[in-house]
Amino acid sequence: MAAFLLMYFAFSLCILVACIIVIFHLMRYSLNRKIALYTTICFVSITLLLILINLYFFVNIPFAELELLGNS
Amino acid sequence: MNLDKIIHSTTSTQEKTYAILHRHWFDLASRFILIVMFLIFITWCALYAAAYLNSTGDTQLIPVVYFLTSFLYLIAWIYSFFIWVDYFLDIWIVTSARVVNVEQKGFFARNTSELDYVHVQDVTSEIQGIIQTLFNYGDVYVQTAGAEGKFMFRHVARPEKIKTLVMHLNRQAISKRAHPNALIKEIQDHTDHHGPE
Repeated sequence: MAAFLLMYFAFSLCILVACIIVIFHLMRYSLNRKIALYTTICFVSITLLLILINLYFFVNIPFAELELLGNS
Repeated sequence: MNLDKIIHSTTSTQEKTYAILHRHWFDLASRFILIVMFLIFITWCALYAAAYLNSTGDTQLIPVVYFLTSFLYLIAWIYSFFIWVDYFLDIWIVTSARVVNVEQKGFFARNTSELDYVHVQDVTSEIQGIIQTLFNYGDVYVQTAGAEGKFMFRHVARPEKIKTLVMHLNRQAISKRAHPNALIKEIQDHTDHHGPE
């Protein structure tokens, strides 16, 4: 369980870094401020939604039963 | 960064912008289609796996399947935006004074180069293949006398119109350059013939 938590934490960190890179480039290098803002809002909102869905499924994984399944 | 900072980075403030170009939309769409197909495939796999696990009674693994599917969706979404940023930040700007090429190479490399029209030697437009012919997009190569060598507009819409525009602006720049000398010569000829006034 601890190993899975650690892996999930590392994965979340990578996602966060990737998101920061995308937002940084959109805000800094876009020609049009409005387009930069709208695309950033779209990106952040859908990314947050996907992260929450992913977190929900992660939390609902029955780790105890899977460990028993692995041991048997 | 916005357009004013790119265009007015030199002393000229009389510059007129004729075109701001990105790669053709089909270039972007073709990459997104692959991602969509991938997402459809993994969704189908997830549904099939869940149905199979239900039938065999191993329902503890179903949340794992859904977790992995949502994980892949998240990766695909972020990768889509990597593609979008790469597309959106590649810009070619054709102004009355020069051509500006802003090229995003990956995430941590960005090239900005300019080309004055007087240095243009040759302009070629190229449309290759069925897709490019149908959607009227292709490459424009601008041969220069400068260090850059060749300037390339990659996968832009209406490449022949862009080629015509660049050639027209090149001729204009050359004739403007030629004009001051012709004018000085005319004045000198007039002074020699009629004497100083």
